[in-house]
Amino acid sequence: MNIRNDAWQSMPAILLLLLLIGGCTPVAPWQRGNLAKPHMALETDPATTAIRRHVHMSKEASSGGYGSGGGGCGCN
Amino acid sequence: MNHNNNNGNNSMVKKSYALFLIAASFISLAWADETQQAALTHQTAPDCQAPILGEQEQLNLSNYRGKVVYMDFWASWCPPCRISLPLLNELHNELQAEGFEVVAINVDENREDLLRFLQQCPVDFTIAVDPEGKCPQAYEVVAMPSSYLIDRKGIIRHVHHGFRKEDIEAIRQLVRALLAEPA
Amino acid sequence: MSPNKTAAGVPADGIATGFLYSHYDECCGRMAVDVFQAFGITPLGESADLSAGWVTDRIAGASPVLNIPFGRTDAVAGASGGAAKVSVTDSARSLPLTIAARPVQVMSSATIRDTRNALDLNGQYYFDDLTIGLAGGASDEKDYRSYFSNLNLRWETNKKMTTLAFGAGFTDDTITPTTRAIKESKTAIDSMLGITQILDKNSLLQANLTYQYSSGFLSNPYKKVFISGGGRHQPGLESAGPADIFWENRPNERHQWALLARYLRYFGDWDAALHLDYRFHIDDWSIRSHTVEAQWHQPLGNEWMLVPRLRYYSQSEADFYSPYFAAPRSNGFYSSDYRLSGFGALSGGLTFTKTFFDQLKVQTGVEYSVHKAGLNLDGATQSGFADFSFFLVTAGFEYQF
Repeated sequence: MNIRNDAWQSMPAILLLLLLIGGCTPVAPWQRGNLAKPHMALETDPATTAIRRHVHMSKEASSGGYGSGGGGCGCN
Repeated sequence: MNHNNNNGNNSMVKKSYALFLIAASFISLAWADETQQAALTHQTAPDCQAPILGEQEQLNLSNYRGKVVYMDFWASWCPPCRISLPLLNELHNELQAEGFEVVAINVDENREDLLRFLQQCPVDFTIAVDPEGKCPQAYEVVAMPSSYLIDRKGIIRHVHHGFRKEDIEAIRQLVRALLAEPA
Repeated sequence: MSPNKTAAGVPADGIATGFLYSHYDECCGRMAVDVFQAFGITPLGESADLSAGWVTDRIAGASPVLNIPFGRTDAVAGASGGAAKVSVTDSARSLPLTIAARPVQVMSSATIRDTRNALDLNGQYYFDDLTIGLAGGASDEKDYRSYFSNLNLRWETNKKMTTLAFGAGFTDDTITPTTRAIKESKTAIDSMLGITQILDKNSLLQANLTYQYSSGFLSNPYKKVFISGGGRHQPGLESAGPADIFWENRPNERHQWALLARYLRYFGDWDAALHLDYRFHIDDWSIRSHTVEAQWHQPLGNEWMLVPRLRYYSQSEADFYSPYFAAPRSNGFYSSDYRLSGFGALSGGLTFTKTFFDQLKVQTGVEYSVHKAGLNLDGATQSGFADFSFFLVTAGFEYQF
């Protein structure tokens, strides 16, 4: 298969993301209260996330997207 | 190993276009980053409207002329702010007799969050409430917390962003120096 | 993986430690795993912190190793037909093959028991707008050892509305299966480019692009394939005992790309947060996958938090995957590993957390997941013979000193 041809399926998604990012309202430092709430953190429960990611990686053929790093295992 | 060689030129163009798009957006975002906030140092402290917590009257900076004022912008959701408040309370009680005042302007949009915090951590200095952020705007606040040390003549002498436990000592020295100056 | 609670670009303000126990249980007499995680973080001076994580997991149970066409169950001892457990023995004889017979899963004969231990360390240094992190670790089990390291950079810009992130990692694995006299090596480099953007007072968006290149021994050393007419041995193909049965053989290179978009939104009326993830993954083994996950973080008052979540996953099969092979493939790559098949998975879960005095957080959670060929977005590419489901139960605590 040609990974390049299929990867262009994600191009509209990338463009949409860039547009969304471009069109946002500035939020002053004193207006960050809601964004600072603990349940608005990108990672709210690192240990549970780690075990779930590990389970998904062991039972599925996809990995990546969430960050860089982490090791391998002989998980079946 | 699976390899396909079709559309060599076409995919090179697409690839460069995508890289350009991504690079352009990164560059434009970095460019939008203003390098320095306007320094308010050596300017007269601007007045701003904010009711004092528990009272009817508005905050009026001219009432503090002749005193050294530590004006602090804080919120209950800001971790360094929570560290700073008890330390500032100690400093306030220590130097109040010499003419030192702390005015802490709270910007919580939710009054309950502020009240709950003060229940856990009560303070003796003045708290003003500004949920709409008019005061931080007047003071061009760029980080939370931000503090402005105002001398007896009403001039801003030091601007401080963020707060670490160790900062209180340096603040104490600066306040002492300003207290030594004449009104 | 050790937690990095300080993704906001500020060092940890105190020492915190925690522990999580998880129990993973597959249906149908397959495997069960007990996982013990311990983790901690400590500030180092004013501008740095160090986190560490330890994992021990204990596996017990059976795992599929081979698919054979239904007509051939008599070729293996202890057969009882259908999808029952059978064990492959060396004394199997070769019989005429019934092509297009439905596949039958063959489980590992003895119960697997293995313990894996892993340690990872992550140090972060914080400048005004830039954070640099260096991480590394190792994972060790009877038949697999992995060393990994990773560098990451985060740059807050645009008045802290935008965070740019870059990461690069390297993994080096050594594989020494217990049932074969081989020792193989596998390496991978991975990289990430990410952007997190605050959209407004109540929402933010993160987009990450990751790329991973793996090379070396990428096959699973325990999995076998059934190739009819496999009498003609291809290079790289090793006989696994009985005629027509070989050790699987995957390509020795793999390029993977993934694009993740995460949207977080706060709802003031509920004091709740919605987390929505979509990930598209593609690689040069022809595997394309879509992952959608939604979480709703709902505070319940009195420091309780409830998080229900829903996840849907769909992947297409690898181009060298087949439940079994009625004829040899020209490029000599074969796998019947259910994880490379086309399937969909749907899971739902719930986590309860209670915080005491802002210092102690106690939580428990459960998740149930179903893997079915029929749940695939593109439709089923094989029958449901390899379908399974599992439960994951977690319980743990975190303490902030």
